[in-house]
Parts: sequence; structure tokens; C-alpha cells
Amino acid sequence: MKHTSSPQLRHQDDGGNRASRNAEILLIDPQHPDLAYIQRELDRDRRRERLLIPVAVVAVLVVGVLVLIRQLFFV
Amino acid sequence: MIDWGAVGYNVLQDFLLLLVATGAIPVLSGLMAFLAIPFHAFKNHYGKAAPYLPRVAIVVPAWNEGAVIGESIDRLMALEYPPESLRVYVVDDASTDNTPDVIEAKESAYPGQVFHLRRERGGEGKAYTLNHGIRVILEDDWMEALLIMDADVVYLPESLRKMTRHLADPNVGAVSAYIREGSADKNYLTRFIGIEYILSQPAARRAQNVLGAQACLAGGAQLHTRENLLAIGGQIDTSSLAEDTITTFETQLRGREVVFEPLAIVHAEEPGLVSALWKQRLRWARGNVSVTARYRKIWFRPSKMHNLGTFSFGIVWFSLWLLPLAMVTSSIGLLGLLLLNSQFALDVFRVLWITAAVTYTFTLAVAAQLDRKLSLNAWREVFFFPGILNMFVMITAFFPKLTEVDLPGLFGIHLTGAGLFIATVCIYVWIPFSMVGAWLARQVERTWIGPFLTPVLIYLVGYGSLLCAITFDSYIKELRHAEAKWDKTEKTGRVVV
Repeated sequence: MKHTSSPQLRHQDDGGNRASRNAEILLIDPQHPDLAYIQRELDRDRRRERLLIPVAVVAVLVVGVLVLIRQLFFV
Repeated sequence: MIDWGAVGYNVLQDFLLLLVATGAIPVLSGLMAFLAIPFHAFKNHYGKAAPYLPRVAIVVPAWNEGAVIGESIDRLMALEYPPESLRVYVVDDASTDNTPDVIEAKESAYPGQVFHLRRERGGEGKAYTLNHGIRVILEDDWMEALLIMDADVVYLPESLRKMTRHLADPNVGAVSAYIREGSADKNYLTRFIGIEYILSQPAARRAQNVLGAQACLAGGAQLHTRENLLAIGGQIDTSSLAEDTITTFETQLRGREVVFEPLAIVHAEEPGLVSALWKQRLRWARGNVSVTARYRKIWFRPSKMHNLGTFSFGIVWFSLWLLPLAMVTSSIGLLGLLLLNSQFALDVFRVLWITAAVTYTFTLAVAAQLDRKLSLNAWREVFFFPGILNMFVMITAFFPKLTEVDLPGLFGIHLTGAGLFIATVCIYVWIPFSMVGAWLARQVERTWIGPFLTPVLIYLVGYGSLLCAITFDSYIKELRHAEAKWDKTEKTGRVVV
């Protein structure tokens, strides 16, 4: 038996970026997050990755403190 | 006239220095990988990702998973994903417990969404079980993406959606998620595993995203496009114990990207006993031996199709695989230098171990921030991850006066030249012996003193030494051509979200 996707998810095979195939998806219940919501989530996650920079800075500072203690008290 | 004695001395010293340097390579490789992590702020795949909800078929291999499979199916059905675009195929690998009954009950509860596939001849391994399901799924064209998972893992509601968005980019062949240790009844070992998983996934795999090559898709959370699955042969490799790694390599060798999504989180139950962990990791380590041999023509040979042949990826791969050997050769080199020229040996020791201390501190400081909740719950394991005795060696290198003068002085001890020499020898050769300590921890685990002594030994020698000991065991098993058989890790349904 061949299965077909639901009307809400049916898309045109435009041969391009797969994202464009989802243009017809509608928000019908909480299990159907709409495209705008997913895009906002994606943008938020993308911005969240910028926090990796302060994370690395904090880690460098921790190492720096160790080196400073060594230089001040143990050399 | 040539002074052959001086030439011999220099040659021997250079050779010993080379041996010591083998110990520095994994340390520097780890540092390089972790220094790449902040670049993920800019060099990530989010720019090419987009909202995309393909029809996903989930294949779940299950052998005697009666305790966990029902909960897993319920969780999958509760995913924040269109239900009409989700199908779960549970492949029952000739289970002898109540697994078939549980699956059939769920099949009735979720008609048209949950399918029970039964293998009458089981026990051949996960890859065979997966292939049974994949054959059925590929019989029609409904499936647009295939999610391979384990029966015991629990997906957070938004996790699948966060994975599929990367498939909007047609260059992506597969996406992996962050497998997070999620046992409800955590013990010292599952907490160590939790920290290891932070280091190896949201940390190291972000770095691999930056470097453009992924070493391994998580076995419990790998999402493939239909095109990719067909391109790699429409089935999972059955010739090795490392089918996940082979799938990852085959995907990339065909020019498709493999993306790690750190924010798609999947909880998994990990072994709470050293013996169970040993069994699981030995299987992984032996699988890696076969992967290294199978892809011998790609290492350190850059290609326009993929990044598996880059110098950085090769160094990362071999550093992990050969780490136990590097630890042994490095200690032999240090000991030789000590006997040859003690001052030079001391300088080399300090450079090596200060580098190790800095790397450990940096990597653990990064990891602890990447998963704060888990790190806070496992703060002891974060602190003692390198092992108390290894930390002592690092402190000796970093603050020599503290351990050689101040600390003994507190107890009224003043080290003589001979005492200092013996202490130095012990410190230089400690690393290979830490693996013996880890092996001992496994040996005593099932004895009456095991519940007390095994955790003490692991805290003393460090979790890394335990993993190195297992890898060393894989060398021995390979040299003996010991049978490599599929050995499932027992799961009891301890995962919580």
C-alpha cells in the first residue's frame, strides 16, 4: 500500500530547498507548531549559540587564575 | 673527531623526548578541539536550517525491552510533531519477555502510527534488527526521513523538530542529537558518564561541527534523509560492532553533511556498574578498531568531498584511539629522561603536565557551563574527573613547592634526595598504573568490598583512566583475535525527563 501525506503536510516537489515545500503547513493543534513558531525557535537557538563566547572566556579566566596563583606564590 | 658517546647520548635523549611527546599529542588535540567550540557561535548550521517537518519513520530495535518500550512509545507519540507525519516501527528481535505484548497494546492504542515487526530469529545484533525495520519502511515512499533510536531513550518533546530543521538543507544527510545521561537513580558512575557525555557531545561535537566532520552519529538518535539512507545502500552495515560510526563515515564520504544539534536532547539510561560499562565500551572500542582499519585510505588525505581526511580530524580520531598507548610510551620516555638527565626530565615533565592541567581545567570549565544542571548535580565528578591521584601529579607539576616542600613539611617530613627521586619516579610512571587501578576496580566490583572499594578506586584513578583501560583491553582482545560479538547493555527503565 502506498501512503500519502495528510493535506496539511502535502507539498509541491519544487526541487529546491526543502523548506519551501512546507509552505502549506497550518497550525491545527499543539502538536502542529506553525512555521513562524519554528522559525522563531530557530532564531532564538541561533542567538543562544553566541553564549559560547562568554563560556569560553570564563573557562580561560579560570585557567588564568590558576596561572596567576602559580606565578605569585609558587615560582 | 666525532664524539660517538655524545652523539649516542643526544640520539637517545631525542628518542626519549619523542616518546614523551606522544603523550602531549592527545592533550594538545583535546585543547585544539575545545578551543574550536566558541567558533560554533558563528560557524554553525543554523543559517542553512529552516522550518521543515518531513514524514518521519522511527525505527526502534527491541530485544527484551518490556520494562521500557511502552514508555518510550508513549513519549514518541507525545512529541511536538505532527502525528500524521510520524510512524513508529518497533522491531521485536525475538524477545522472550513481554515486549511483544507491550508493543501490540501500543499498536492498538495508536492505530496507523505504531507498527509491530517481529523477527523470529533474533540475537544477531542491533544492525540486523534495524535492517529488518528499514526494509519494511522502504517498501513504500511514505518515509521522508528515518530516525534510528534505542528502545530505552526518551526524547524531549521539541527534540525531533529541532533535528528535522537541519534537513531543510539538501546537503545534509544526517543529524544527531545530544544523548544526555538521564537515570533517575544516579550513582557515582552514571554521574561520571553524564560528565563524559557533556564533554563528548555538546562540547566535542560542536567542535566537530566547526571542523566540518563528525566522528559518530549517536546510536540512540540519528536522523537520516531518505536520499541519504538509499545512497549508503538502504541498510545499516552488519559487518562491524561500530555500525553507527560506519553510517556516519559513509554519509560524509558521499559528500553529505552530518550535523550535530546540541539543543535536541534525548535522555538515556547508562550503566551503573563498571562491569556493564566495560562490556559496552569494549564493544565500542573494538568497533573503532575495525573502523580505523576499514577507512585506512582516508586518514590524513584531504578530499574535496568530505573533511574526514583533514589533519585536525585525523589527530582527534587517533588521539582517542591510541591514548592508552600514548600514556605508556610517554611514561617510558619520562622515566628514561629522568635516568639520563634528571633536570631535563623535570623540565619536560612540567611542560607536559602543566599543559595537561591547563587543558583539563579549560575543558571541564567549558563542559560544566554547557550543561549546568547536570554539572551541578555531579559537581564532585566534575572536580575529580581526572582522578585524585592524577590531580596530585598535575598539582606537582603546577605547584612543585606545594607537594615537594610545603605538604611534607606539614607532617614534619623533609624529603631527601633519594626520597625525592623515588617520589618523582612514582609520579612519572603513575599514568600507566592508573589503568591497572581501573582494571582492579572492575575486578573487585562483585566482591563484598566492591560497593565501597570500586568507587574509591575510580575517584582515585579517574574516569578517563577507566576508559583508557577499556581501550587497552580492546587492543589485547584484537591481538588475540577474540570473538567480537554483539553484547546488549541491560536497560531497566530508569530514565526520567
